[in-house]
Amino acid sequence: MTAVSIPNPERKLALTNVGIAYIAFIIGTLCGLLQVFIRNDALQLPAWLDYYQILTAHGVLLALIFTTFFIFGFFQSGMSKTLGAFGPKVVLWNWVGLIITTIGTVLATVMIVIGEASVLYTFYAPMMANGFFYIGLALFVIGTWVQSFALVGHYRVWRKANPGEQSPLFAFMTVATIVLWVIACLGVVATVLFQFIPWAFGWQEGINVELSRSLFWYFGHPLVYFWLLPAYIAWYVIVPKLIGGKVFSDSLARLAFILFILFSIPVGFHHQLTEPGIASFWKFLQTVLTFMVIVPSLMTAFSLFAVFETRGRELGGKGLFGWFTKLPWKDVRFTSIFVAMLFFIPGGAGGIINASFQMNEVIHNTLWVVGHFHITVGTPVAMTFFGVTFWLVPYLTKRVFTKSLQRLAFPADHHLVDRHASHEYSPACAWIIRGAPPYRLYGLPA
Amino acid sequence: MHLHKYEKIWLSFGFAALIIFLSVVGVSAFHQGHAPSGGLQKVDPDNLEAIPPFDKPGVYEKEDGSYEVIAIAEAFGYTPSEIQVPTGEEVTFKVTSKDVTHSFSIVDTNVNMMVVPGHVNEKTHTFEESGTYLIVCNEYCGSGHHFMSMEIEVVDQ
Repeated sequence: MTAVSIPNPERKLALTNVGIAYIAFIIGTLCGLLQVFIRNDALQLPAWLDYYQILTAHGVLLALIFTTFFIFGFFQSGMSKTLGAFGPKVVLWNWVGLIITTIGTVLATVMIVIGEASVLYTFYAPMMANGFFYIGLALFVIGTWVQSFALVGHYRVWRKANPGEQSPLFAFMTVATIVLWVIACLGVVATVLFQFIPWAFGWQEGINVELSRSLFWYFGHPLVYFWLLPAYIAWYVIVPKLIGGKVFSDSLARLAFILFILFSIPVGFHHQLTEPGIASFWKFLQTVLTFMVIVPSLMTAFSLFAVFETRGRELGGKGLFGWFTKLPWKDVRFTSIFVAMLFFIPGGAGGIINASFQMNEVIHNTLWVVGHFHITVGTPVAMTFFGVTFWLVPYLTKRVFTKSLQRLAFPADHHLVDRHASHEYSPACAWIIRGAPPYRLYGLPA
Repeated sequence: MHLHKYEKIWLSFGFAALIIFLSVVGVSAFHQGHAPSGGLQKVDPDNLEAIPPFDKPGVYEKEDGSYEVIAIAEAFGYTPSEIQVPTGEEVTFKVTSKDVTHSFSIVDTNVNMMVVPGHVNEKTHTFEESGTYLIVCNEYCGSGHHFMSMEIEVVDQ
């Protein structure tokens, strides 16, 4: 594809991040596969291994580790490409951050594997894990902050050298995503540092459960935007390049990201709609604020399809839908991302149902929710990351993404969609049709 | 900032849909009283045996003919473990937890409550059809979580 690449220090950084992401992906996916076998009674776990251990590993490794490491690898590549080579300090601090993140990851993973932290990735109090699990989580977040600040530092260096110039879209969106991430993490850092760690090590008796839940969800919902926005970056910046078009509107793309930062802050209560301790008024207020995210989502949908149509017409597409057939469907880098986008439509619509105040009682903690996050983070985000990987890794390793690899990539992608869509979502869809909720989120009745 | 004509139409449609959705949800919530379960009463989870009404979990008929169900969730079951209520009467469930966070969710109804230690969650429901309803815990609460359930018998008066 291309022999030109970014400088070596950044390549190593990005490849390390992406490499760890895919190790987590493989283990996490295997855990998911094991769950399917266990629930089908096709497999009996040995006595030393518990279903909830595997479930915790599946959630943490895929939703937290795979996404975060991949995102930072992606950011480091893009920031170097668009703003120029990293200075030695930026490289150093990125490594420091990466190492802290990795130590935190290993510590938390070990605690899960030895059965000291079967608390799922929501780790709701007052279920207690080994104190070192929480230390692992804290290190993980601190490490991502160090990498974040190093990247913002790189942006500042560029800004000083180029006063008055408009920043490249990729860099703008990266900084916006980092701002969102740092603000979101304040909640989880507060609860882990001031509530969970003192409590788990016995320095403090008891824990304010409802406060810890609210702080967790202050983080937990923006967390999903932190997964989504890098996928949006790929959709806004990279997809137009892949198909030979250009961004529909640079300024609207930037506005969408700013709106995401704003609308990501006071929305966590919509995960707590059916619990006591929060007055109805505040639950409703956050329902309204949650819905605001529809605005940047619709802007994004418009912008992307405008790019597709414009490019399709340039390539000679005629009539109302003729442009659609002109898109490069045989290019897996485009197709996997396109399929990802399609899944985001039912994903987003399901999200509106989930957040709809009293409607939440109908779906709360049912398999419907499992379906929801598998067709949002599991499909659109993961498949976009796959699409990105198909060009990012060849670019970073200076290798060529061959035709035969392309052919291999198509079934791999379809497998991912199949697994997530039919196995996870169909029970939820069946529920709408049958009108009977598939209860029991975590394990079937014996 | 320039907005394309089609984008203006698209976003106006989006805003209009948003306002309609939220109005429906809001009217339903504040005019018709369809709010999800909740409650601001606090309780000491380590001392439930001594605190009314949780010192005597069970079903109580109130003066106005409605019913109250007092229940405690703990790993991995509920107290009481079986209850009976009539059809066509308002039943208010008041539930709290003795240990970790659970849920109290009656299958095939809109009763789907988080049960948080230290708090009392409340939900009022009227059963229209008689029969046996399953109540499950749908919030992971430990290694025996999937065994945590109870039944509620709804009988015609």
